[in-house]
Amino acid sequence: MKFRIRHANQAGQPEDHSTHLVFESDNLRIGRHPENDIHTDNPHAADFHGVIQVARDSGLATLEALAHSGILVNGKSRKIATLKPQDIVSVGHFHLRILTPDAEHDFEAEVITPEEAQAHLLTLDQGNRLIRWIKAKLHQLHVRPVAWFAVLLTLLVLFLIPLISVYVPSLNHFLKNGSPLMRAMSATSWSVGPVSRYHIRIADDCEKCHSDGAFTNVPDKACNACHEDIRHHFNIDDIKVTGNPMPMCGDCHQEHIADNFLVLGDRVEQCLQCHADIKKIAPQSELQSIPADFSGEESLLAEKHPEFVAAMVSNHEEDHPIVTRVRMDDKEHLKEHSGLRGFSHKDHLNKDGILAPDGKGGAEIMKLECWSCHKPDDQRVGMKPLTFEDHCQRCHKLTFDGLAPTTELPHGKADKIFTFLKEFYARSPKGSRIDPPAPPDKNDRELPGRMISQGSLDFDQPEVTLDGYAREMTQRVFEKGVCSECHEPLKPSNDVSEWRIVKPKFTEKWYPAAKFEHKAHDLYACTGCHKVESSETPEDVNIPAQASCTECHDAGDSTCLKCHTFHKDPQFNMKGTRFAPKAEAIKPWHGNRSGGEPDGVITPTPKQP
Amino acid sequence: MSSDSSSYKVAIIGSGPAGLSAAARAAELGIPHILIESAPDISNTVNFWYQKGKHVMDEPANMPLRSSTKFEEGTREEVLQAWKEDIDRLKINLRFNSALKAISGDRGAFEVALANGEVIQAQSVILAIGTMGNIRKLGIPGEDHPAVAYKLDDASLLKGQRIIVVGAGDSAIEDAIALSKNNKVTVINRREGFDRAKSRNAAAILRAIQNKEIDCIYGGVPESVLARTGEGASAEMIVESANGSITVPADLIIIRAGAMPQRKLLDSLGVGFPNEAETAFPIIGEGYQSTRAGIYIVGALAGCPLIKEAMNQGYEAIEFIEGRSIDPADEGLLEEVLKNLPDYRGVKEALTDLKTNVPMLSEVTTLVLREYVRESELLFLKAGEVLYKPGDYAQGISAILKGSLALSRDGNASERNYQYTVGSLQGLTSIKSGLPQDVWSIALEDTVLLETPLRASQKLFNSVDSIKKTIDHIFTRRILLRSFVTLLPEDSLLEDINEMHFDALAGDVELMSLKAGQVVYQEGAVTDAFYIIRSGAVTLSRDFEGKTQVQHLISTGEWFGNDEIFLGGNRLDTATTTSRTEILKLDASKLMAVLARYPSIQHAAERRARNMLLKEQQKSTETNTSAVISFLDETGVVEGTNVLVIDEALCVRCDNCEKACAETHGGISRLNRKAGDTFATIHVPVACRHCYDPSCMKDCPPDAISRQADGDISINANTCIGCGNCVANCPFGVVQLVAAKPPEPTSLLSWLLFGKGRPPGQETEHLHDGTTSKKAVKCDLCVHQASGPACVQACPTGAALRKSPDQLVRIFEASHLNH
Amino acid sequence: MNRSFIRQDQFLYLKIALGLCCISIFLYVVDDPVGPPSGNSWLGYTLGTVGTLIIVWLVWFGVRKRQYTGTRYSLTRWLSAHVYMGTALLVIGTLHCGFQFDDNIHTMAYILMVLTILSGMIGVYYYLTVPGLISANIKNSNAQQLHETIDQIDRKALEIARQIDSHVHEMMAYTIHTTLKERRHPSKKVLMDMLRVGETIKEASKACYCSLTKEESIAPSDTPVSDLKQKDPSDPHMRLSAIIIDLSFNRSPGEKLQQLLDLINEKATCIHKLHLDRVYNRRLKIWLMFHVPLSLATLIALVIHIVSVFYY
Repeated sequence: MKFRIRHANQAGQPEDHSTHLVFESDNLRIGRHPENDIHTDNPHAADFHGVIQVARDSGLATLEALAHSGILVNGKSRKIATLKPQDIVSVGHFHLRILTPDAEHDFEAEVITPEEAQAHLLTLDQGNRLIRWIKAKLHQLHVRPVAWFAVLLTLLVLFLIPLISVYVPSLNHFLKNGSPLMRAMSATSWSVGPVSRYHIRIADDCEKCHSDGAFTNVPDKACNACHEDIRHHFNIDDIKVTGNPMPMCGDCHQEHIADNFLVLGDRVEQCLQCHADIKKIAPQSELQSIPADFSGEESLLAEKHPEFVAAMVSNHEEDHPIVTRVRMDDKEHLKEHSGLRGFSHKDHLNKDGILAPDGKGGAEIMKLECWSCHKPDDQRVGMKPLTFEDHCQRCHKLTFDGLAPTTELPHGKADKIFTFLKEFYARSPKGSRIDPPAPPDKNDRELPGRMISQGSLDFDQPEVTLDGYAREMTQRVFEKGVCSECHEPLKPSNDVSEWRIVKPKFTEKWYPAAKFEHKAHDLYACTGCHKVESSETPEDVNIPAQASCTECHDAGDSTCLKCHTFHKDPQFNMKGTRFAPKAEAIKPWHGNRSGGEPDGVITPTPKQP
Repeated sequence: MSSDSSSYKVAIIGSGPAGLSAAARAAELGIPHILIESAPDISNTVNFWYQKGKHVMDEPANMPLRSSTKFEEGTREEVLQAWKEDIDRLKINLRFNSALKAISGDRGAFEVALANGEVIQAQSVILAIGTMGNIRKLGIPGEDHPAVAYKLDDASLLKGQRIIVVGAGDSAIEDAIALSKNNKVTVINRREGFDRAKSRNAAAILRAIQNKEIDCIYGGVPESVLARTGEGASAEMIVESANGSITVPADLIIIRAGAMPQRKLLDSLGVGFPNEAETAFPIIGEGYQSTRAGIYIVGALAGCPLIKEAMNQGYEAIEFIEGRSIDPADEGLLEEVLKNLPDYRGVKEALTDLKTNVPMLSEVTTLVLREYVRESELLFLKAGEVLYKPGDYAQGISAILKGSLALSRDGNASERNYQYTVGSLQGLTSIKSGLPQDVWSIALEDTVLLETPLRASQKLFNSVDSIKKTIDHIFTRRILLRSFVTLLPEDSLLEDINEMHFDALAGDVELMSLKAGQVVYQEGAVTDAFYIIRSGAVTLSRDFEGKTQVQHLISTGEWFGNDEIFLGGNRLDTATTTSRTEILKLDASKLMAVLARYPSIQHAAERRARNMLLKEQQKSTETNTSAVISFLDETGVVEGTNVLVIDEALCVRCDNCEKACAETHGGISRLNRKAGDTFATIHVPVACRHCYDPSCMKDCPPDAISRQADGDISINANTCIGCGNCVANCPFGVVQLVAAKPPEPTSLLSWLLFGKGRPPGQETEHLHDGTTSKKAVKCDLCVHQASGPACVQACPTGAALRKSPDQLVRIFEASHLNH
Repeated sequence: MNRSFIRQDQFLYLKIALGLCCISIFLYVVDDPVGPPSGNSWLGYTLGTVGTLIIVWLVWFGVRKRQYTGTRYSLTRWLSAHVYMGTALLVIGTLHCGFQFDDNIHTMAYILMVLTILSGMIGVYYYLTVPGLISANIKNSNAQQLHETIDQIDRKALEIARQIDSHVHEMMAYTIHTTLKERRHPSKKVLMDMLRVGETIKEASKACYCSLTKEESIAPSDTPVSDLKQKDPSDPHMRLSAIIIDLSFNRSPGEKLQQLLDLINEKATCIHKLHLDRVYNRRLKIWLMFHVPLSLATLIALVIHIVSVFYY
């Protein structure tokens, strides 16, 4: 066996054969002991570290480690290894690279430097390059890849996935039903805050409101799609805006604030934006402008808030009521012309009581309280309407003939009065009537009905015809008593059968845009606000004015919305305005509100008899 | 050339610029001459010590060249080529490989003995041997083989070669270790060890030899160098060793046998020197004649390091020998300097005036004075203008030629503390002590000063003994005055103090030159004197139950040992030097005599001493301070004026300091955070300390290292020749020799985002191609940055501090280190 | 510690940050926004703007840290301000959102911000504690010197091992070789091996000492030798200790063996120090692996947050 061991030459240096070791031997021994063939004085080598043998037939070189620790072949510890060209055999810092032997030799290897060996070993495990690269990067604590990863992940989770789920509802649905983290990736995750509970059922469907697509504001039409019959806050045609966009729903209504929060207008400043100078925006508005400094706790409502304006029914003569706005401090015009006459709160509320005509209840004198007539409605917001039958008739009987003290005229049927009287006197033939007894009234108080029989005309007179008497009586009833005591006669012609009375029209909602509940004011006496003790005529308006409210309510605890209500004016129904939605655009999610009469609408319809 | 016994009119020793110029002039005039060169080629310094391709400057540019040979600014090769052409053209009688051994005889009949035994007859001798020394050669056959070299340009350029390094000194070891990384190195050491080298170097090479990284033949004597034919190395060296004769093949043989000392040779030639200082230049009289008649000295040995000047001198020397009087070449230059003087009449008259007006210059020879003036410039100050203010470091000294200056502590000339008039020197204390100024100097009237840079001034001090003495005296007086000023309450004036009162005291000083670790006085010794440190530092330590604890660190310019004088009694401390220290010792009784004139100062001094004593008693319970001072002392921090220290309790090892340094200094960090000494949490990284007495500055051939006005020691990159002397001389290893690629411009954003480009603060690669000459670099205190040193500026946690040693002591005292 | 970034300028930046927090809290308490407190009020916008500016400024620290020229204020000041302003952001950010948390990106951004600040706080904790630990671990030395020490120990140990027994030498050489590469970055495994060897060797040296002085004899069965052999026969370190212990009982151990044991012990100590050094040094950097990516993620989330809020 011929072995040749070369000492590595630096590149570019001429080959120096003197450094080559060539010897013939059975095997090649490596170690620190001088007896070895390759004798290295490297302290890391064992005395006899390993032996290389070459098989005669195959020419394969085999390395056997003599040292217990084995010998390193290509960086791995081996006891026995078959050597191929380019393998590296290492003993401490001593490295041998196996070469392909030429024809003369059976085995050839060269001694290489530790650096070369290191470089060579590195090339051997190319396969794990990626893993090595990652390991190296991790080892060097490189922040940049991690930072990029974090940035891209953030973009993905907070931007891309929500964006995709806007357009892919199934993904959105999937995410919505997942963990909080998944929900945070859903389309709604861009929501800037909780959706108010009023809209909670459509909260997951961004498109419902953001109908123009992602990253857009909510257009009014999206609101109107559901709220199609809501009244406008104002008459859209009154608004004269130059330069500024038309006020939108979103100007007062803000979503994503809190679950119980929707109206941004509960804020003096917010309302003041328009109402500080309402004429500027709506020149025809009858509304009063609010002082611009009407804000903060310093300004008291009493000082700054304008006097209330009542919405009074002013035309009792017409079939259709006309509402006139009268400032409460405008005493001259503040007269309610309801068509009712002769009523005095003062008399009725006499502290000593008033005479009860029928003596029912065991007393002739009866003391009236407010609630004797005014009963709260079921919601205890307002009062039940008063009716003649329930509230007046007990005392004010519509008797008209002393000879028939129990017969009363039918109330509310003025057109039937003439016929009624004619029939009445037809049924009581002449001479059948007897004089009525003297009245027991000590006070000589005229009660309705009694006067009528004491007229100059006597039915029993022969020249008096039934028709004529009936006409006479009708005229008397209309003009002198019974009806006229409380009502104004309406005489279109001299034919009494065509006479009617003016139907009284009461203002039911004095402050139509105000939120007022009697319920909340239960603790207080009625007369504390309604100054009726001195009211002597039915024209008196006993509705409290601003001063009465501001006695207790201060700007500090009362916002605009506490008293004012909106979207109630039927005149400004959104239907027909330019904001009317396309019907097919978005279907309202609740059907029960569409159609039907909206509540709280001022409809001072004439009372049906 | 055969041994000729013919007599020459002039023998010129050294074929450097000066010698060559002299020879050329002689040849031109047809004077029988011989030019003797010890090396095998001309101009040893330019040839051997300059790097290949180095750009040779023709400074001073305004000085006319007066020579028969050409000299123009250009590369080293161009310059040498021009000279060689002139040698041929003028037929200069030149002999190589002939080292001077001795000169006997007198003017007119000198016998110049050469190392090879030859003797040359000459009437005059011109010594132009320079200052770089004679490289010691081996004197063995085959020495001129091209594989033999005497210096190593750049170890990193050599790879895979077999190299022999002859020698066992520091330079040999450094070469061997640098080469061993990529080459097979054999060291031939005449001795059995490396005891001549620095301990660090010796340890390193012994380790390398033990690790078989370097072969070493101990007791080896080189016998001959033979050319090697055939394959392998180009040469081989036969070495005689204990084991017989060994043949070592080599591609390169580097001989590092050291250089012959100059002084010894010159002393043996009988050339007079003004003093014993190693750096002193020979005394040179009129016409460049030395103290030995007939021997002329020109060139670098005459204190003239510039090529052009040296060539002029060589030319002029021949003229003088020929008996012609010639106006010095620098006449125009002098006129340029002096012409603005009030009532200027001419150079000669102005120089005479100077001699009479400035007492210090009265004894100076005209040649020295001319050079002194040539290097200087006039400075005109209007009344009220400030010459310097506290914190300024003096750049040189200024002599008052006209007018007067006031010294003031608060910058107000009218409340002056002291006044200097015509003839006085300014900037002396600062130059001598390496300390910044502590007072204002303001012109009282229109004043004219002659401002001379540091180097020229120092040359003057060293060349004339009497000046040196005078300067020392003035310095002592001033430092005394200055010390007394520190005793005074802040608001008091120095009006009444007369500097001259200290004259007697200053005249009676004893200068003590001490090595590191020497004891000035022992605790308990009799108090008989007090001391002022002129350079270096001293620790005051005290014995506590058998343990020595350092109490104080006294650095340059401060005084010590005075407290006991005021308190009475024996020494309370032991004073020990920390480094090479010069101390002025003054008699205690004389101090008291002077102080008797100033009772207020005396009271202040006594009060201060008592306070000191009280404070010390408190301090004695804290061992930390003592340990800290000892550490700062041992690591040589105290030798610095501005030291970078890292508080390891805060250092997060981010290396931002190094990055900041690299980024602001052409891609090479001038500090090494990891290296350096550590004590408890105080780490002193390897970075320049800007020593009071900088070792790097001591042996800089082009004088490129200087102390700037800000106090930093800086290396002028334009004049640095990359010789490496400073690197070798710096005991703290802070100077690097680099040729670096200019750092690529980098976009911070693209690196931050994509890792593209050079990371900010990354050091650039060193160039290995040898095309760019290496320069010495070190910390320059970032004087170009208004915000201060970048390393401190870039420390995120406040761990890096750049402070003076006493500030550091205070800081670490305050932080109550726990360890 | 007087100069630490925590105390920079007498806690100037702490004071500024506290002032900012106090102002924010005061405004938050005083402010009566429409609806519950949220980012959607003037205070919310103000705090949001301030918070955004602070975040951008905080992230800018990564750039500023690498600007080495033309800087006016030292990096220490910046870090001090960075730390305190970052902490103040916790207050400002929380007040900005008015304690409204939901499963949406805004809360995600908030969580990212909080995580960033928390990782920063860990960093501050490390910056304040670890440097001292490093110094205390490698006293008055450095890692380089420790490596050199280990090199020396290795050399000595090999020399001594060779004089004892060729088996011991082989094993010693092999263990040295296997640890050589990993020593620069001691892996946990190698280190644990070394520590175990150290422990075993300590036991062995005790026994060795006893047998040397003949004070007391410990039967080989009492030692973990057999144990070690069985445990991991392929582990060279274990085998080495087994051989050494075996030697110390079965043959005359001698002075050399004791020296070798001491050296191995010393090496184990050094390696332990190196390991700790590495752990500490990594600790100084590892938190940045979280802090920096988190802060950048926060920045991105912040942009998304702002865009989405202003678009709707």
